[in-house]
Amino acid sequence: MSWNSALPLLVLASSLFPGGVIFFLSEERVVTRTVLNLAGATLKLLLVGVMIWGVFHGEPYESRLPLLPGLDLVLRADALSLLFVTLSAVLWLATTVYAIGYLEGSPNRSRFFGFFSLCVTATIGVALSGNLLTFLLFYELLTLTTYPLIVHRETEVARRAGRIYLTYTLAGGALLMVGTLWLYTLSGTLAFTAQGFLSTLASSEQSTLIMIFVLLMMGLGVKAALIPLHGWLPQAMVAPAPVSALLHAVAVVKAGAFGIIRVVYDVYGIQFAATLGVTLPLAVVAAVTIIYGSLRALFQDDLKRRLAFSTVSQVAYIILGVAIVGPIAAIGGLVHLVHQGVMKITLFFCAGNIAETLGIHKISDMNGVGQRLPWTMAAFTIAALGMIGLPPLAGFISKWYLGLGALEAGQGWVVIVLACSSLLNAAYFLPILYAAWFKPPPERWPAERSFGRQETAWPLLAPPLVTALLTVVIGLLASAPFSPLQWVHFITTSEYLP
Amino acid sequence: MNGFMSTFLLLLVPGLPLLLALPALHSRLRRPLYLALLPAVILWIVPADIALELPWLLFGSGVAIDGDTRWLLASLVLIWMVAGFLLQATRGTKERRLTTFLLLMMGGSLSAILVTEMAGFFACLVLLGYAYFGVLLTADGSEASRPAARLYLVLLVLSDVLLFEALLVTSIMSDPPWGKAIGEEVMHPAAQPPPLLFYLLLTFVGFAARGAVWPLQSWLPRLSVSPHPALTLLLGAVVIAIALLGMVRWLPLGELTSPLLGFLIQGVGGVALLYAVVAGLKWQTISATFILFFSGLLIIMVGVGLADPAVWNSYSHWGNIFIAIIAIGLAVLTLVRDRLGAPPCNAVVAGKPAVPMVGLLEERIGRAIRWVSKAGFESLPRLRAACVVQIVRLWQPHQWQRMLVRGEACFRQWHYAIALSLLLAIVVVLIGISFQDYPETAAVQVHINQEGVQQ
Amino acid sequence: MSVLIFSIHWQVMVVLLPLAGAIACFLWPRRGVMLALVCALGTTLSVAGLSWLVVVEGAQRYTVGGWGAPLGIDLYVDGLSLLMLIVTSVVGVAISVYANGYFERSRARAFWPLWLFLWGALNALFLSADIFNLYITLELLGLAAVTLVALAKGAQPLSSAMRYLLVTLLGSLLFLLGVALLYHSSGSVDIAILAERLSASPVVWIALGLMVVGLLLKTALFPLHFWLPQAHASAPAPVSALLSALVVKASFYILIRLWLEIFPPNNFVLGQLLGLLGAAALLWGNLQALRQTRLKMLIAYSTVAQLGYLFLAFPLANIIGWTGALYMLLSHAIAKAAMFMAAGNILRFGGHDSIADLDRIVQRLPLTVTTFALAGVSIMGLPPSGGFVAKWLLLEAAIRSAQWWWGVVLVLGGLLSAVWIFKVVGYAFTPSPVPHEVRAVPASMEWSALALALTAIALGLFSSWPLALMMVGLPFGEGGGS
Repeated sequence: MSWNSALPLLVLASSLFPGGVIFFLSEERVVTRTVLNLAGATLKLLLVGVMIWGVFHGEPYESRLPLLPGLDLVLRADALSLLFVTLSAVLWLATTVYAIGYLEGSPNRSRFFGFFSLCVTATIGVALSGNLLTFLLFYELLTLTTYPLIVHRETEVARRAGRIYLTYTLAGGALLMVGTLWLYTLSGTLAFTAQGFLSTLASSEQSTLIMIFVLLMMGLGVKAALIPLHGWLPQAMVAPAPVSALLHAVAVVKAGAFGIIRVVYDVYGIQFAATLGVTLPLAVVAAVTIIYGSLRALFQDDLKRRLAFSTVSQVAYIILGVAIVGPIAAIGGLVHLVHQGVMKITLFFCAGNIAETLGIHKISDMNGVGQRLPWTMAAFTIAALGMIGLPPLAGFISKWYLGLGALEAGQGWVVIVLACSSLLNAAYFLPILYAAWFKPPPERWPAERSFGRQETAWPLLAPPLVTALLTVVIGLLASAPFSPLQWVHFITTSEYLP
Repeated sequence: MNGFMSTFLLLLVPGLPLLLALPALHSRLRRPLYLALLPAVILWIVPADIALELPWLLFGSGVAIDGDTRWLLASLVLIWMVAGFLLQATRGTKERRLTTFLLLMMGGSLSAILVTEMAGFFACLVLLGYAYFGVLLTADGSEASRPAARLYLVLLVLSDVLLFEALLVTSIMSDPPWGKAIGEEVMHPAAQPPPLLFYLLLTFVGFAARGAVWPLQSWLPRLSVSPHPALTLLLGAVVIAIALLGMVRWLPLGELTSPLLGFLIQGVGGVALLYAVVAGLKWQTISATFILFFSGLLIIMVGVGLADPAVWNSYSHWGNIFIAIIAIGLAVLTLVRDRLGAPPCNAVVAGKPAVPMVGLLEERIGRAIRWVSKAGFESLPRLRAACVVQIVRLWQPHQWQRMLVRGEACFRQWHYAIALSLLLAIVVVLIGISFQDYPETAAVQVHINQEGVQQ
Repeated sequence: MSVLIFSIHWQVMVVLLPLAGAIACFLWPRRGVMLALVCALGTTLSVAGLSWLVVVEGAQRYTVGGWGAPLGIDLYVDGLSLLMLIVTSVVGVAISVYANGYFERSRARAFWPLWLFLWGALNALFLSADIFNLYITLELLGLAAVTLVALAKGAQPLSSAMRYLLVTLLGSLLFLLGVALLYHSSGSVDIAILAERLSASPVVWIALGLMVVGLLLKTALFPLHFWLPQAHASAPAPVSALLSALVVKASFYILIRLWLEIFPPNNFVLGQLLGLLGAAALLWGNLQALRQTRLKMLIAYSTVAQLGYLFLAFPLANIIGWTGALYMLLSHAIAKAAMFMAAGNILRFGGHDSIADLDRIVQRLPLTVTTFALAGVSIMGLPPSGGFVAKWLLLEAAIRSAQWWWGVVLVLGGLLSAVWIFKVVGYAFTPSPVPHEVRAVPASMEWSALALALTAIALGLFSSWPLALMMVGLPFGEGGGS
């Protein structure tokens, strides 16, 4: 097996192996577990770095394993998959550090970290899938590996959330499977190819292809939390903060959005999808999701719940960017995959810090938090302003390209949607910032934990600071080489140029 | 001065204040505000025009200093020095946070002057606006000024959105469009650019909301009577001046003509002047009046420029200088007023119309939000929950359960089982016999078993 | 080496070894365990040798004692029977290891001979080339299985064993009637000869009808499944595992053989009928499983449901459908055995298998819960698992033959089974306030179950080999069908 075909497997194994070993460690072996986790995450980051370099210089990375007659399990690194892989690898490292601090002294940590690693493995698998079957496989694995994380707290509420999550995602997975299979019987192949592989099919199959598209979108839309399939996401926020962070920023919702990108670009092909007339309805659904999610977020008092609805809204940006047929909008959508991840993970880290350190869960109790936790709230502020889309933060770049792309594609209504969403984002984020910074703090906090001179424990503080810094850097230096934006340029060129 | 030094200096002008904004850094320094101004002062003194391309910043940006901007830089440095001087008196517990916000503001304002393209300018404007909001609430936490501050925030957000849209329209209209980095071959601008008037209006209103141009001025008088004269100075000479600067810079004055909007803007400017003269002649709000008056003048100029490019072209470089003069004038005025000593203003201002209006507005918005939440956005999920409960209830009544139990019990009885088996046998036999001779009923089977039939 | 492999009559070994082992175990009960394990190993090796033979040389026919087809006994092995043999030995080895820890001495004495006897009968059944031999082996199999069920102590197992006995006898009787009628009308019992001579006539149809119903009764297809849950649930855990995994599959194997080889073609409507019953089984079984309060009953009902999948291949009637059904058989056998073993572990650990009180147990048996969950993944048909491959193939067959409604049933069945699987797995995440008095579970029991569950998962990743094996020789080798 050559190095090029082993590398995708190694990337997968770098989290699978620690995950497998951690299950068998006893609770007390904190050091071993931590070392394993961090070593895996760092190794993965290194391998991904090698792969980025290789893909940029045209190296093919592909591993194959025969799975079904005529269908292989294909792991392939192309520019698009690397975008997602890099995001997962970087944020996994951050979340691992955070989770180590967050779960210190709580029960069932081996189980947690085991499933945590498996969850990341599944996400990486989703990213590296070279055909729809492989994608389906890892997509379902992701469902299975996140369930234990959601119910990790073992409370009645958590189990209920887990049940709702499973109901939605398993049904979605079934639809995805039916759609995939149906597609296979029509086309005889499922391999992701630039500009799709369906445009050569007879025109009599068009109505069938539209139906399959709807099936696939329903299957993927569940995880991407498109309305009306978003019901599980706000429930799932009962999970521990690192899990919510990973769920909202990297793993689950992104897997859905990434799948939609894959289906639209590499299965149907964007031009063919546009001729089928399926992109406009998709764009409308995404737009409705954006507005609806923001409106619902406006009326939540629970911080994590508000963030969850904000995710519903923000992830739809990605889909909107894909569904506006045009290269610039595509850049906006794809780059938001990264930008939203970095910003949202920061917000969830901060929400976790506030809950862990002060025992505050509700926004109405957040008065003056900024004075007790200045660094945490600074990170929160940066991420929230980025979400609103203020320059020069990451969210601005995505919104900019989305708006420009919409104008370029002659779909001016999208700009109005974006403006409304910005206003709504401001309406639900700014009051939090206002209360946290400028209102007087209460006499005493609900459940304060003291960490000496620091505002909170280091492992809890460092990850949000790093990701907040990242929010600034990837926004400010958007045009620097190897920034997410430039990488997305690279992807889009290959998708839109023959 | 060599290239490296100038590059370094130019980057340091906004960079140093932003760096020093870290509380851990500036809390160890004695006079962080002056220190942060140092590069700007040097840049002002060194008489050379420098331009620097920053292709990796945002969508490709740049900073430059030339004749006009030097004037603006000079006035800004002056104003920051005055502000620093005024703020020395106000040492308090919140000083550290105030300094952070001030340094952020300073970075934003200095880079706004130096930056050469609109996205970067927009970014600086945003930094400036939000940092000023922070300064405002940190320095003056009184309950009375909060509604006005919040109104300012709302206008800020609105202005951001409008300017963002204006920026989009600019870049789609410009040729070649922005975002060109993707490569010209993939661009196919199928879009009709929106009408010019729309674009001009967006830009104008966007900047006007930040510049407290009538009729969006209601927050200005209340904020300009704050107990800290430095805040008033910063508001007028930095926040508003830079907003006006943006308007002058980014409206296509002298290039494009729109007589209609030009007249409209002149009209607005005129009304602003009138308003300033009639409503504002009070000592407490003298600086607000000053700002309103001169911004009115500038608006008239802009309107004239829009209506007739030729006029503007002949006087265009006066725009920047005029803004610099307003700022310096305001600085002088504030200093004078501070030295003369302003009377305590809270009691006087309590009766002013701006406060109740703002309060009323907020209350109305709050009521609207509550109403909306009652009407739709809470009842909708509740409705769904009720449906789910209904479905669950449908399931629970033991009808289904009972059916399952009874069915199972039925199958378990021997006579049923035997009867079923025999029945099944008979059915199988009947089906076998009766469908045997009609191959066309079994199209699928025939198709698949072609070979079997041939055997 | 290869000379050795080709010179041994592996077919005979495969049948005789377990039977000889059974007799030996009966004669020397003290050495029972060792004898049985050696025997299991030997049988497995023989099966491996046989598969080597078949893979290299294709389908094999062996005439016992040199007597020809119409008179003597033929042992015939092709891809289909080889697959069944392999499944049997994989599950058989795991069950042997498991049972070694499970049974105490007094019951082991009865278990080992019976189990080896049953194994021998199964192997003989899969190798039989004529329908009379099929009947005999089926009868042997049934008797051994009934006795094994009765191994569990108490009145309940006894009554269900009794019911099971009557059902197997009834089923065999119906089958025998069919055999007699066929023999009368065609003068032979050899499957190959029957396939040539049979022509559709009422007598043949009556014979086939009787045989089908007899087999359906033994396969426990809805609505003739009434005996299965009780029998499977009340048997000792290893016995439940082998009943669910292997014994019901034997009669299905006969059905599929008859259907593909001697049934007259053009039985589209009959296929639809079987498919309909399969669909009903799928839904009914899963719904019943949902409302069970005992874990083993739940798993037993899930067997009823899963058997429904197998029958969905009949209306689809194309190669993909058949391979799908067979793959389902394969993966279900392995996963269900693992699941019953896990249930046995839980039962032993906590002394009960009441689902509502599982929270006290499962948190302390992580390996067993993992086993259950992994087997559940296969049974739900989630990737990567054998169940997924099977469902994929069945669904593909449904779409390709334009009978999408079977696809709907398939998907619905998978989702329904997910509900009860997660109902059980959810208890792993329920903290229990009440400590429970426990009995240790030997490591061999936990690990053998886990190994089986992992095999079920691996079937999803390495499916090409079993799928290729199915194609060896008849009935799938050449164009499939009758």
